[in-house]
Amino acid sequence: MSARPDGQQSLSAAFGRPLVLAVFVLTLLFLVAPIVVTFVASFARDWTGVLPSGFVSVRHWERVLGFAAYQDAADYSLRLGEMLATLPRDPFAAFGKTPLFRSVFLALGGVAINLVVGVPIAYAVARYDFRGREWLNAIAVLPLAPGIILGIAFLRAYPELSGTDFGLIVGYSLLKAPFMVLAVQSSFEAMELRQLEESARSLGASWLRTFLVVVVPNAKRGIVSGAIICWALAAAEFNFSYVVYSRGARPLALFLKANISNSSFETTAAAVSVFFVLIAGVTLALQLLGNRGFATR
Amino acid sequence: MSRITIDDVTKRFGDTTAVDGVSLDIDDGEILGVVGPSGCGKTTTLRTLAGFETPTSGRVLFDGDDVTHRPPETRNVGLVFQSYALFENMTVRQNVEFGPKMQGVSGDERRERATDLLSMLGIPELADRDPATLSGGQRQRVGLARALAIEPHILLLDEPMTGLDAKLKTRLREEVGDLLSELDVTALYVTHDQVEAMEMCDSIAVMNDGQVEQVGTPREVYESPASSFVSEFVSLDVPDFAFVDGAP
Repeated sequence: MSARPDGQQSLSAAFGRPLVLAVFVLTLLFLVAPIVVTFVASFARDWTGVLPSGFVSVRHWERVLGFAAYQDAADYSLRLGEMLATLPRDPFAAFGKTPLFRSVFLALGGVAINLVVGVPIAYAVARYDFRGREWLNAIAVLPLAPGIILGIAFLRAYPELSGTDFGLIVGYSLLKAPFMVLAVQSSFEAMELRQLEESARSLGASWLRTFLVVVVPNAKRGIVSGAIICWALAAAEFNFSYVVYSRGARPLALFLKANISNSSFETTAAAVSVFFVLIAGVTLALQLLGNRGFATR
Repeated sequence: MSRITIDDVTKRFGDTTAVDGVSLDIDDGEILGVVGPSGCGKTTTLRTLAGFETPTSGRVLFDGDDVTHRPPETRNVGLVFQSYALFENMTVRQNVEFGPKMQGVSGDERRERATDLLSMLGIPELADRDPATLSGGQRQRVGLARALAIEPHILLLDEPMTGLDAKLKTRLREEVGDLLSELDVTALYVTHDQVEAMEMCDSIAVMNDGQVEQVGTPREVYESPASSFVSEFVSLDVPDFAFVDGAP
């Protein structure tokens, strides 16, 4: 942006940029403030007055993570204490005891299915013209049913899957598939897919090898971001989990709901904060894994 | 390198005929330019040679071998695209070594070939770079090195200079032309730019509407066009153009 010869600034320099900046900052503050308040409050002993007091207390975190008992008898914690106690005796059962690991595992299962199903669909739609292409695209990309409806339909059709890990994983993958397909598809559409593929074929790579060694790694960005979005949304999926869950460790969304309904604000704040930390951690992990996993150089 | 024959090839897509009874011969070491307006069938002809299209009728021969129904990965054909289509998940060197690797060439020889090709193209220092960081001209050279690394029967170039700026184009034209003749590469050079074809190719096929209107040296095509279409298409607006043969 350069000043005009007559010394006046252009309209966009004078007003446009500050305005955009102001809107951006305000939006950011508006969105970030609740997260910061929640996080800070989770370390307060109590918040009965105007401001929270009694910093820094980890009491609420201990409760939520399951290292200290709740005040009333009911236990809505992540049961990490119980898990650690069981670990030496029965490692397999131990991880199933905590909502934390169960949720991470269930959501990852959904992501895995979406990778196996979604990436080929995105590829087919981006690469080929075929009868029913529009339909396949629409079905893959439209979130067909809200979680609550899918959940009820699921229980009607497959009552034996109610509350099982398999049922939850399949449901999460169905619900979140559009996000994977969209992310990967846009990645495919941004590159010269056909020419890339034909180059590899002419150099002697079979179709399958081309797909695995050239096509998929070139769509890395879309695949990694698709996986992150799918995971985060599946871990936070409330409706479907609420309908289908019946036993075992609660999925995270239900753990949050239980705390919101039953615990003090500070304990709930700790529960929500655990969730933020978890989302940030898994996002980071998938990003690193994605970058490493595809690096062939 | 090989002698390439396209024998009466026709390719229809549904009701449209993209290539209509085309016969072309490319001698060992010859560079044949295929020029014509867009939609004239020149790219379909190239794709038929590469094996990405199977002709509706007619044959494709490499050194007398009928390869009409062979899949692309077994034809040993080098492809250079307008978009270069470099593998961005690999370094420049890995791009160049990709073909030999697929063909089972040993690691040592692969490295040697890649090193040789990259220095021949004047870009040995780019070997460990990420293709995404290269300029258009550099990418072009990497694409060329990658296609040449498999020692192909024929090099197919599909509008390789389109999209480069005029100055670079002029320089690359000369360099690539020299390199191709030096390496004695058999090549099919598809372009809509008749000046480019005249400067780089040993002979030129002018296509229109799926058919070959004329084949000849650049001079023949320019000085005695077989049809009004050819004369119109090859008319040069370059005043001091020099033909490859050097004669005035």
